[in-house]
Amino acid sequence: MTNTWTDIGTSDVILIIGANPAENHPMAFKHITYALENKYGNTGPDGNGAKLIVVDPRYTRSASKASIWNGRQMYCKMRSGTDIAFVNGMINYVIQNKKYDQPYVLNYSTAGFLVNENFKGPAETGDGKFSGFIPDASQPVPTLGQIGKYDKSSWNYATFVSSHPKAFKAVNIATDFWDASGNCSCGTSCGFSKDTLSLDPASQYYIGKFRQHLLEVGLLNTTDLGPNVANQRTVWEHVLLHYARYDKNTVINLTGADPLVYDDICELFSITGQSDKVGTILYAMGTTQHTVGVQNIRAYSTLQILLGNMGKSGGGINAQRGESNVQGSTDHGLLFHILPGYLAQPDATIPGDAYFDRTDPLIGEPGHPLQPASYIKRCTPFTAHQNELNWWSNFKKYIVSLMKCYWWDALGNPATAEQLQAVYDWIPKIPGHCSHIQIFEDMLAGTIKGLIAFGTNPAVGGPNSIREREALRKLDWLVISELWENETASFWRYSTTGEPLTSEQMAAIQTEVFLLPAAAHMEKDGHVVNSARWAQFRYKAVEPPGDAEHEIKMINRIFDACKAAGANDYGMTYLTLGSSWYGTDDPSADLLDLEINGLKASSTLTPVDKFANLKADGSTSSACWVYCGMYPSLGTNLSKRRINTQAPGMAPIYSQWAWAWPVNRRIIYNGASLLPCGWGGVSETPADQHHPVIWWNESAWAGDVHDGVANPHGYSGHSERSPFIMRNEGHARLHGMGMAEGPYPEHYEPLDTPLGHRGKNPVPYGAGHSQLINPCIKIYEPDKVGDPRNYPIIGTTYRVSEHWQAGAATRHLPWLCELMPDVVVEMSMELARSKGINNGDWVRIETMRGYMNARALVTNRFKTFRIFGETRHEVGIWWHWGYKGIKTGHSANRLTPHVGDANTRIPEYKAFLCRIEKL
Amino acid sequence: MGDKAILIDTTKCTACRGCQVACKNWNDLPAENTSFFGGPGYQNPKDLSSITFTLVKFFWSGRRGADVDAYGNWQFLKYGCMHCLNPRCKKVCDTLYKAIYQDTDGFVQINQGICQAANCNACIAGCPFGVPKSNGQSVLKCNACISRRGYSYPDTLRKDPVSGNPAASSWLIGPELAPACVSTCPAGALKYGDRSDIIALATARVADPKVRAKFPEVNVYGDTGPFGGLRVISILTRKPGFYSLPPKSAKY
Repeated sequence: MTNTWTDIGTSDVILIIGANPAENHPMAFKHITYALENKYGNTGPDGNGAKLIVVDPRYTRSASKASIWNGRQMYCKMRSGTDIAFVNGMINYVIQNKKYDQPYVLNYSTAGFLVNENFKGPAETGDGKFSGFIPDASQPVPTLGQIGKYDKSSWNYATFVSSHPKAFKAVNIATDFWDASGNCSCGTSCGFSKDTLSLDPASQYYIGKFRQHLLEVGLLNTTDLGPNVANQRTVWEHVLLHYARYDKNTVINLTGADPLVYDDICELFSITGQSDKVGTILYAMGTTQHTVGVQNIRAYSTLQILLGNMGKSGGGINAQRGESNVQGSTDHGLLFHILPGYLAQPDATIPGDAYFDRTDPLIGEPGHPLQPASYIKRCTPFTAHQNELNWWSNFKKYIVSLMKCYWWDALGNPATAEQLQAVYDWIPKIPGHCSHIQIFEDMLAGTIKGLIAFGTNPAVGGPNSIREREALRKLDWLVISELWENETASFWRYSTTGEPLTSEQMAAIQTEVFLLPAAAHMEKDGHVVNSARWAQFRYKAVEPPGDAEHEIKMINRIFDACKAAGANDYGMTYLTLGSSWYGTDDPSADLLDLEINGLKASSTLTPVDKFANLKADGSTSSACWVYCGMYPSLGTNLSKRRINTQAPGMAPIYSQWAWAWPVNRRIIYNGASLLPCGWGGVSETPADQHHPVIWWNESAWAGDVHDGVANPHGYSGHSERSPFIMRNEGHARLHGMGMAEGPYPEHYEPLDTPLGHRGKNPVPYGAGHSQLINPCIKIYEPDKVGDPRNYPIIGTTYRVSEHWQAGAATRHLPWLCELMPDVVVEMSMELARSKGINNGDWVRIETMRGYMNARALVTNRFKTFRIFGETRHEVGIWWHWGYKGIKTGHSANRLTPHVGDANTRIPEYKAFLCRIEKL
Repeated sequence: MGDKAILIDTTKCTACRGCQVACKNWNDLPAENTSFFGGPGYQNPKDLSSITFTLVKFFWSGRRGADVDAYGNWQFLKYGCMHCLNPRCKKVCDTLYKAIYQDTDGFVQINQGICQAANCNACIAGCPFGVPKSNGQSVLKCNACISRRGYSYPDTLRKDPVSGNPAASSWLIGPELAPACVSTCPAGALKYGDRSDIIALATARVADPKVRAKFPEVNVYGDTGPFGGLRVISILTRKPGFYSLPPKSAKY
C-alpha cells in the first residue's frame, strides 16, 4: 500500500476493484466504514461522507455496502479478466471530460517528457503490440496471437547528449526552458509560461504546441534530438492516442458492464480530480492473478496519477495482502527475483551478473569487468535530472550492507575490491525465472529434487493442482512445516485426484516426507507486517502444543546443519547468520530485529539509526535496508510501540503506533500531497487542507515523515525536486518503460478467453488485429488451452470470510466448518435454469485441466454478461477445499491453468473457461 | 448492573459471522455438523439450536422499485434472543416452574437446574421470535454472556503496558465486559451499553441523512415495541417484515 489503513477513513471516493474486503479483509472494511460514516470529517462528493464503488464479477458482501449515486447503487459487474478495459475506459472518460488534476499531472507526472521517436503504441502499429516486438518462431498457440518478447530500446525517453559526454539526460520540458519569472526563455513574447501550459490539445498553450515552439525558436536542437524530430511526441500525446481507443462502447462490450452504472462510476470517481478531493483504489488478488496482473495495477496507477490522488491522505493505490504477513515476507526477499529490501537478485542469465569464470586469465587485470561492479551498475539508475533525488542511486550502500550482514568477517571495514568480489561470488545466482509455476515445472522435469515448504499448501493452492500433485511425486524429499498434516504433507497417501491409496500404491511413491510441527502465530513472538508496511511486534500468548516449534528455531537448525555440511565451501564457512552470530541455536525475534535493522562495524552491537547512514564501504550492515531505523538504539525496538493517539487536523496516520518502513513514513510520495509551485517542485500548501499529510512549519516539514521533499519554492535551498523520488526522473510514470508487455496498459484476453473463437481482439486498432492474449507470457501447456466452443462458461475462483487460503488452518476447526461446510459454485439464475440445476444440487465443473464437483448456489448476485452480442455466463468457485480436514471437497485449482503474468508469472487463477453439468 | 441493551446496526453489518464464532467460543458450544442447504446467501446453520445461540441470517429480495435495487437487496441480521422487557417465555414459565428470570442488567436467563428438572418446553411455544431451543434435557438460548458481566474489568488489562494509554474500547460503553459477539464485531455493527444510550444512538443513526439516503426504510426496532420493547435494539435497513420479524406494533 502507498497509504495506511487509517487514512482510508479520509477518502472521498473509494473504488474497490479486484478485492472483496468485507469478506476477505473484514478488519480493513472497518476503515472503509469510517470513511462512509464521515469519522474524520471528510466531505465526500456531495457533502454527505465518502462514496463506495465496488466492481466485481458478482455482487459480494462488500457490494452490499456500495453507495447510492444518481439513484443507483454503485456496484458494477465486470467480466473476469477485463480490468484494463474497464479502467482504461475510466481514464478515457477523465481525459475526454478534462477531469484530471491538471497542475498535478503537469508538474508531478511524466506527461511533458519526450518519448523516443521510434516508439509506437498499438494505436499506430495496428497489430495489437508495441514497437520492438520480436516474435518467438515456436509460438505455441497461433490462433490466439503471437508470443515473443520486446526489444525495449524504442520505449525510453528521447535523450540528447548534454555537456557531460557520458551523462544522458531526459529532455525535461518541466524544468529546462524557463526564465526566472517562469516565462518561456525564448525572448519573444510567445505567451508560454509555467502557469499557462495546458494538457488540452485545444488550448493555445497546449504542451505539444510548446514543444513545437521550442523547436522553432531553437531551444530544442534538432540535430541533438535526431533526424526524425517531427515524429517525436510527448508522453501526454501518446497517452491521448492510447486511451482514446477505449471508448465506452468498446469497454461495455468487452467487460459486460452495465452502461448506466458505468457512466455513474466514471463521473463519481473522477470528482476526485479536484485537488482537494481524494479517491483511493483498493485491490487484491482479483487484480493481480491474471496474465495481465501487473498491467492491471498500472492502469489503476495511471488513473490515480491523472486524478492527482497519489501521496495524499485517503488516496493511493492500496494492495490488500492475501495473508497477514505477505508484506513482511516480500520485504524480506520471499520472491525469487529479489534479495531482502527489494534489491535485485543476481541472475546468471544476465551477462554482467554471471558467475565469475575462475579460469579467466584476465582476472585482476585492469579493465576487467568485475561482476559486483557490473551488477551494481545494472541496478543503479542514472539520475535523469540534477534536481531529482533518484533514491535508488543509493543501491550500492544497501547491497554492500546486506553482504556485510551475511559475511561480517569476510568483508572488512573498509572492504577491499577483492573482498567484495569474493563475497559477491558467494551470493547464489538464479538461473533466470524461478517463480511458483516454474519451480513445479522443474520438479516435473526432474531438475528440482527437494522442496522445503513453510506455510504453503500447493496441493490445494497451486494452479492446476493435479499437475502440481504429480510434481510432488517426482521429489526425492519434501520438508513441510505446518500446523496440521495438510494435503501437501499427505500427498503420498492420496491419488492426485484425492482418493485414498492402498499401501502398495503408497509404497510406489519414493518421496521422503518430513513434517515439522509449527507454532501458530499466537504461539510465538515475532512480527507481522501489515499491508500498510507497519511492523508490529507480537508477543507469544500461549505455548505451542507438543513438539511444535518457532520457525526461527527450525530454520536456524537447518542453517547450522547446512553450514556444517558445506565446511569446505568458503561461502558457507564465512556466513555469519545463525548460531555463530547469535551465540544460541534459538535466537529471539527481538535479536533478529536488531540484525535486520543493521549494525555499525566499528563497535560492538551498535545499531545504525537510519538507512541514510548505511555505507557502501563495509562499515555498516543491514539485513533489510528498508527496516533500518526500526531499532535505532539498543533497547528501543520501535515495532513494539503502542501509542494510539493522533493529533487532530491532519491525516490520521497514527505515527506513534508501531513502526512503518521506510523511516516510519506512513504515506509514500507524500510530497505530492502539496500543491505544485510551478514546474516540478512543491509549494508549502497542502492540496487537501482538511487532512494535510505534511506541511511547512517555518523552517522544516511537519506531519508525516516527509518523502525526500526539498524545501518549498521561495525558501532557501529549494530545488524544484519532484515528489516521486524512487524514479530516476522524479516524476510519476504515465509511460512505464520497465514493463514486459508495453509502457501502457493494453487489454489482452485471459489465456482461456471467451473470444477465442472470434480470432480478433476487439479493442479498436484501425484495421483490427489478432493479438488476443498477452504476447509476453510463457505458455507451459499449449494443449491445455480452453476453447469457448467446448468450454463456453467463464470461471473464476475466490475466498470467503469463513475459510483461510488453502484451508488447512480452517477446515480443521469445527466452528468454521459449520459456517461453510461444502465447496460451492455460485451461478446465475439464467445459467441454472438452462442446465436444469437447482439451488443445492451437486454439479461437475470441467476445464481443459481437470474437473471438480461442487454444490450449486443459484443466485441473483451473478448476472449474465453481454459480450459483443453474445450472452456469456460466469461462475465463481470457493477454492479452499481439499482431501484433508473435517470438511473435504475438491480444490477449485484442479481447474486453473499453469500460466502467469508476463512480468511476475503470478498464476492466472481468476479467469478461465469451463463447462458445467448437473450430477 | 442496570438497564442494559445490545445494538445491532444492519446498515454496518457485513455478515463476516465473527459474532457467530465468538458466541460458540465464549459459551463453549460445539459445532453443528452442517452441509450446504441452499439457503439464501451463505447462511449456516439453518436455525438457532440448543448449541447455536447466535446466527447471522441472510435475506435476499428481488428487484424492488427503481434502480437502487437492481441487484436485489442482500441484507444480514444477527439473530438470537431479543431479551424482551416483558418476556412471554418468562410469563409462561412463571405459571409453571419459575425457571426463567431477568438478571440485574435485565437480560432474560433460564435457570438450568430448574429447567432440567422440569423439562417442560412450554417457553418454546411462548416465544414470538422462535428463539429458545431444547436439547432434550432443558431449554437453552443466548444469555447475553452473563459470565462476562458483573465482574469488574481489571484496570491493568485495559491499559497498554508500554504507553499507559487506555485500550481502544469503542464497543464498550459501560465498565463491564461486553458480550462476546459485541466485542468481536470488526464492522462496528454491534454495541453494548445502557439501554437509554443505545436507543439514543439508534435514533440518531436512523435520522442521519446519509443513512436515510441509502436506506429509505431504515428504522429502529425494539425501543418501544414490539411487545413493549426489547433489550436487543436493531437498526433495520428494511421494514421488520422483510426479516420475518413481528411488526413493531405487535403486542402479546
